[in-house]
Formats: sequence, C-alpha cells, structure tokens
Amino acid sequence: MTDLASTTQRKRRSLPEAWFAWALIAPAVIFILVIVAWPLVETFRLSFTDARLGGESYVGLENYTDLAESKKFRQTIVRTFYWMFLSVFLKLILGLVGATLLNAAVPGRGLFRVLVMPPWVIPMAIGMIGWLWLYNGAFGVLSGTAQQLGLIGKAFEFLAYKRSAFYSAVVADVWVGTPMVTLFFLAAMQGVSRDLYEAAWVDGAGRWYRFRRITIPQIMPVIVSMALLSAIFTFNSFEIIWILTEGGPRSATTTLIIDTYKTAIGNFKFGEGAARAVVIVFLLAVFSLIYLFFLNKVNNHYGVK
Amino acid sequence: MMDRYSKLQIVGIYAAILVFLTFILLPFFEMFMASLRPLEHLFRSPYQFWSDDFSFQAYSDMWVTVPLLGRYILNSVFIAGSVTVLTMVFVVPAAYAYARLDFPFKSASLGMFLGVNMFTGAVLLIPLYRVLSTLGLLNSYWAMIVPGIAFLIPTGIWLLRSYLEKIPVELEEAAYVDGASRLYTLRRVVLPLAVPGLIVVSTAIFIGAYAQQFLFAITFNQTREYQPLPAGLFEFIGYQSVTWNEMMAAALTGVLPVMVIFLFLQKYLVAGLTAGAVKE
Amino acid sequence: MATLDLEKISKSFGDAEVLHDIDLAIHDKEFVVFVGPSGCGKSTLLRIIAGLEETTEGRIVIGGEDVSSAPPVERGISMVFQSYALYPHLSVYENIAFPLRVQKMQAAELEKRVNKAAEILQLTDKLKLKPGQLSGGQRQRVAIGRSIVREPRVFLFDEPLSNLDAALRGDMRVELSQLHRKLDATMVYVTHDQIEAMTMADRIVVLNGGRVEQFGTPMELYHHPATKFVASFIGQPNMNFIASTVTSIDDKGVGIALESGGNLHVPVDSELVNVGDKVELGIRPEDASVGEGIQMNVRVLERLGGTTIAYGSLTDGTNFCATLDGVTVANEGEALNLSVNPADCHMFDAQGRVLRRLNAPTLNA
Repeated sequence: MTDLASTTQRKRRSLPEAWFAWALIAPAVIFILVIVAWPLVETFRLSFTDARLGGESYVGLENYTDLAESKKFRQTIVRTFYWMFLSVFLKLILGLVGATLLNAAVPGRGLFRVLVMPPWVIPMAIGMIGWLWLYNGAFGVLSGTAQQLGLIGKAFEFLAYKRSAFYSAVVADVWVGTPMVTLFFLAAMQGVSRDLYEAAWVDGAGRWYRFRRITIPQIMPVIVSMALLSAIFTFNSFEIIWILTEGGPRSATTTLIIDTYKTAIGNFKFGEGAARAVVIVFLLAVFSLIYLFFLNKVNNHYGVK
Repeated sequence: MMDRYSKLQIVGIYAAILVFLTFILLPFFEMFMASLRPLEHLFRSPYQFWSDDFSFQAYSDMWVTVPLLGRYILNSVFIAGSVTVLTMVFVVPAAYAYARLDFPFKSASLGMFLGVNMFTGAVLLIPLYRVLSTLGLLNSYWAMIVPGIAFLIPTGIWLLRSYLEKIPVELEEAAYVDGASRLYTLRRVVLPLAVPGLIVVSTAIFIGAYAQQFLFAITFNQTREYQPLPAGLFEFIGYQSVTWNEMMAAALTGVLPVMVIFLFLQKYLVAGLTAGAVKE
Repeated sequence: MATLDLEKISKSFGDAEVLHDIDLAIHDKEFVVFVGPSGCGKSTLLRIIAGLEETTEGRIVIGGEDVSSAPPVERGISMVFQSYALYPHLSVYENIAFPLRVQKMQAAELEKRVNKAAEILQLTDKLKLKPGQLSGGQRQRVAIGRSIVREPRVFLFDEPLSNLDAALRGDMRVELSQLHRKLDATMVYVTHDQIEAMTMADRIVVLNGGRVEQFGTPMELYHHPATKFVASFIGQPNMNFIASTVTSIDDKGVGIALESGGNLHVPVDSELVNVGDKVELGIRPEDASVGEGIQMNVRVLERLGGTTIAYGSLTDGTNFCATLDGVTVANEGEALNLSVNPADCHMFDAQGRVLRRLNAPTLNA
C-alpha cells in the first residue's frame, strides 16, 4: 500500500512543477514556433517549389539541382567561407590584441574600454554609412590622406574594384565584430586568477611567457566559443555588405545571404531563394556540429567542463 | 610589482591603444567631419582634410531636407522600446523556468531557443513575409516589432537565466518553507533581487533591437511614417542631390539615444554580458 | 510543540540510495542533533523533514499527524538555513515578518510578534537595517528570528553555525541552548561538528552512509558507542584502535592478544565473539596514562598547558595517541610507557559492532 500511495503522491506533487515551468516558457515557445520555426519549415517546403509573386507549384529537386550545377553558386559558397574564415580570424586576432592592451594596468584604461564599444552599440546600418564615406575615393579620408602623402596618384574608389571591395567589406565587418570579441576576451582575462600569474612571476616567468602559458590556455574556452559565435554571425552578416556594395561589383562581395536576399526579395524568386536558405541552414548546422565536436575536445584538453 | 612597466613599454602600450582606437573610432570621426563640411566643400578636389568653412549648418538643415527625420528617430526609439518591453515579457518567466525549475524537455526546448541564434532574419525573410502578411502586420510598426522580438528572445533568456542562477536557491526554499506560493516568491523575492540583471538584459535587448531594425524595415514596411532611422537615412540619397553632410549629421544624431543609454549603463552592461565568459 | 517521528524513511536520487530505512522517534521539546561526516545524508534527512525533498519511502509524523505529503508550511516546521537565506532587499524587520506577511496576518499582531522575536534575539535596534549591514552573528539571529515568529511545532537548523568564526560559534552555541530552553521547543539540528553535537544535544543521531549508526544521549555515545564508527567519530582526539585476537572467554570478559604485543583481559560481553576471532581494542586517548603496560614511541608532543597530547606509534607501527597530564615528562623521539585500565577499554568485532562494556560508568541521564 505504501508503495502505491507514495508513488501517486510523488506524481501529484512533481507535476505542478512541470506544468508551472511549461506555463512560464509557453509564451516564448509559441512565439518562436510561429515566427521562426514555422517559417523555417515553410522555407523548406518552398524550396521544392517555383514560388514567385504569381503562384507556386512543386518542382521537386529542381531548385537544388540548378544550384548544384551552377558554377556561380559554387563560387558563392567558396567566397562565403573565405569571407567567414578571414573575417573571424582577423576579429579573433584583433580581439586578443585589443583585450591584452585594455587589460594592461595603465592609467586611462577604463576610458579606453568604453571607447572600444561604439561599433557594437550603434546600428550596423549607421556604422556602414560611415564606412561608405571612408571608402569614398573623392571625399573619403583614406583616399584623401593617401593622396596627400603621395602614396597614390589619384583618388581610389575602394568599393569599385572586385578585390578591394571584398577586402574593404571584410575590414568593415571586422570593425563591427571586434568590440564584442574584445570585450569577452577582456572579461575572460580578468577572470584568470591572479595567483596563477603571481606564482609564475615568482618563478621568474616573463610577460610573454605568462601570456602564452597562462592567459591563452585559461581563456581558450572563451576564444573557442567566441570563434563559433562570430563565425555564425559573420556567415549571416547582411547589412554590412548590402549597404556597402549590395553584393557588387560583379558579385565580388556576394555571399550566400546576399545571394539569397537578392534572389528571393530582389527578384521575387521565392522558391529558388528558399532553396538557398536551406543550403545556408544546412551548411551552418554542419559547420556548428563539427565545430562543437572539436570544442568538446578543446575543453577537455584544457580541463574545462 | 608584477604589473610595473618600463617607460618604453608604457609608450608602446599607449601607442598600440591609440592605433586600435583609431581603427574603432575612425568612421565616427569621418562622419563627424563630413557632417561639418558644407555640401560644395565635400566635392571639392583635391581633397582637403581641414578647412575653415566647417559649420554645424547641416544639423539644422537636415530637418528640412528630410521632414520626417524626427519621426524616424522617434520611430527607432519607439520600435526598440516596444521590442524591449515585449521581449522581456516573454523572457522573464522563461528565464526563471530555465534557471530554477526542473521539467521534461528542458534541455530540448532550451536548445531550440539557442538554435534560433543560428539563423538571421535574412534566411527566413520569404516565409516570414507571408506570416506577417497572414497576420495582417505588414506595413505597420508590428512588422518590425514582431520579428525583432523573435530574434532577441533567445539571447534574453540566455543572459537572464545565468543571472537568475546566481540568486541563492536557499532564498526561495526559505520562502517556500514559510508558505509562500511560487508566484509570491517570484514577485517578492526573485524579481526584486533580479533588478540589476533585468536592467542589463533589457539594455542589451534595446541595443539589439535598435541595431536590427534595418533589414525588417526595408523588407516588411513600405510606410514612410513608420520607418526607423537606419532605413529613413537613405532618403537623403533619393532627393535631387545627395546631401551627404546632412545624412552624416542625421546618423550621428540618430544614434544619440542608444549611445546615451549605453554610456549610463556601460559598466553594468559589460559585466552582465560577459558574466558567462568568466568562471566563478 | 510536538513529537517528530520518522518511520522507515528511504531516499534515492536516481539509482543512488542516500538514506536507508531511517526510524527515529524524537520527543516533544527535545533538542536532537544529526551528526555525521559530509555525504552521510544528514542534510537530506533534514530537508525531508522540512518538506523540501520528498521521501522515496516512509512516513513523517509530526505531533501524531502524518505530514509526509504536506507542503512545508502545513507541517508546522520552520527552518534556519546554512547560508541564513536572508532576503537582501528587505529590512531586518521585513525579513522576520516575511512568514507572517505570507499568512496575511493582521498588522497589530504581526508587529507584536516581530517585536517579541527581536527582543528575544536582541535585535530591537537593528530592525531597520538591511542584512548586508549586519555582522555574521546578527544575521544568524535574524534567520532564527524569522523561524520563531511563526511559532512552529518543530525548529529545523541546517548547519547554522558553519559560516561563523570559531569564537562566535562558541557564543552562538550557548545562545542556541538558551533559546531552546526559553522556547521549550522541539529542535532538530544538523552539523558535522561533534563538539556542537555533544554540547547542545539532548540526544544525538549519528548518521553514516545513509544509516543511523546510533541514537542516544551524548554520554551514551561517548561511553557506549554502538559501533566502531561512532566510537571514532565522537571524542577528540579520536579513539585509538589496536588489532587483536580473542584468546579466552569467561563470564567476566574477553581475553585478547594485542598485535602490538601483550595480553589484556577486558570486561566486555562476549556474546558476539569466539576464541580466535579478530577484534579491535578501542582506547580513548584520555583513558591512557603514564604507567606500565603499553610502550609508545612519541613522534610529536602537543603541549596545551593543562594537558599534553602525545602522537606516535606502538611497537608494531599502529598509530597511537594519548592525552596526558600537562606536566608529563616526555620527549619527542623517545619511548613512553603508558597504562590503561581495562574497564575503560572498548572492543569491536570484525564487523565494527561493539562488545557491550560490563563495568562502564553509570550515567545520570
């Protein structure tokens, strides 16, 4: 009797907790289901259609086979990954340098820390207007100063040539992403126990040695997770390229996101756009899974949970 | 002792910081300079870094060139503010559940929320357009508020959850032993203690909401009166000539609200956002 | 006030069973201390009584009423947490008043109760402060204040003194004992500190590995430990154990051969053992004195003034400790001869069960 009674009692008492919890998360879950999950499913469905403004009918895998055969699309994928790796790499390096500088015990560092943040605080679209002007050949300070210093003969339009436009967009993207990375690295550095440094210092370890053997291993988990976050962020980055170049010149800055947007919203080819969106989701998911697999290994290696 | 630098090192550090900050602040500097130049000066060749015809004229002219500018800035603040309030309404209960309660599908549903971070609106624009159209929300403030909320909920839950987890569970147990109901405990014990965390998270959401308006605005809203600043700024381009100096002035003016909020709260914000990065 | 009966309490977390078949009958107005090493289940048991954890099996009966499935507030208990669990945003007054506010008590009655509690705990001039402005001992008192305003039938304390420094802990022990007398309440108190247990308890429950090793008065535990575990847990420094073999049995006790050499006849009940069995001889450090009998090589001497504690080993290497007179002549690194009265000795069989002592001091409990 006791057995049965206590079992039912336990059920009666543990259920309210679950119901209460579900009631608390329900609004958020429903909202996400309607605004994100359902559109995601719908994107998947649309990718098998030739949906346009007029109507839609199922075309099977045609959108995907088109993409598979398109040399241009393959180039876009390669470009997107190159864009992502280059930009993330630069963000991590700059973030590490920036955090180390801001962590140095010099007067004024409190002010410097605040001054690093604006690119992250302001809307990207507005920051990009500044870059648009910077990159302007005739009136921008970059081209202008270079001319006055005699580095270049005449005005240089950064966004007018394929290569320079691509790298200019990378620099602008790095500019947007660096503050956040710097901030997290700085916080991680400040979380490293001072005892470790003092013990190493007492043992005669120099600054560079301490940085290499204490700071880097201690903040490695943060480096690794920031790398993933900014990779996803960079991969999906839309506003930066859109405002600077709209993907041009001659597709030099067209990443998957830009390509998708242009196809779907610009040309109203919803079906083809959806197929591209599915490819993006697929690539991101695969990339993240592989990455998380390695993240686990790194964390184990550095003794972090 | 350990942190003492030689004179040369200090000079090196400051020089490096100067270079780093130059990179970070250059666009703002450039925008400010451009906003001071009269329009005819802007196109003057060869390039002049400095001249004596700088003026703040653009800051008053811009309101005339784009009559709705004030409206756009208010729209931005209004949209970001609405997104923040509504997002918090969704985030607070959910974050509490994830921080404190144990329930079936806890990690699965949390994983779903975090998965949302993998997508940006750009991937989902097409069906999102249809959803909003079905709900009759296109070309209204809601067209920018609703998707804004969706993409900020996960971040909000994540940030607030880690904050709530730091409130000692004994406080809630003590209230429970004393007979307080769950809602009473949430209201009288948890939320008052979470106020600093609520401020941090809502500020972060406000900044995020302010930043993400562009894409949703240009895609889901055609009504000029509802346009937020980042989209409205492009009106300076559409008129017979591009009044760049006014556009820069308007851009700088338009980021003031969010910059002011940031400056007021930056200390808490930085600590709150990076809390997860630091091991206790 | 009320009795508290635990009947066949078991508790598992997943596959791990942390409490096995606990049966305890706690009297009305009794001060009972649960003591044991960390992980023994003492806090879990307290939380089960409080209603913060559910039992897997068994019943909790308070004042004759089965409260096994009642929420805490209906059990008539109150609890003081290890971390005090004071609400940092509320004043001392509001902290103490919290349980009454939950009950929606009338303002006049509420104020009377809070003021009375504050008076008992000497907090009257601190009522307007926030917990953060108080010292550790004052916070402790606020936590107690919050638990007494509800006038519960049973008070529960979860290691309430472990966050205080040593001196304050001594003072609070005395205060808590006085409070118990003043309130005349049933109290259950969890600690890992055997001194707290010995000094405050009417009766002590020694828990080990989720089982009750012994439930008795402090003096019973000291003079009649039921198991080797209890014997080693109660008393400071710890009891010495010397491996031995039973050589003879008679109606006056058991004769043994010590592995460190020598023979001894100890007046204990022989029911559990046969000649040839392995047993362990237990000698409290304070029962050894300078004399002839056991030779010990002294490694370290701790001279505390009133007493001198000698740490060292017997001839076969068994560790041994003796609490001796303060003026004992001894040197580190030298041999010391000790004697022990067989009547003071304890003996345990191979399973750690005690062989009941026949000539132990009578207890006036």
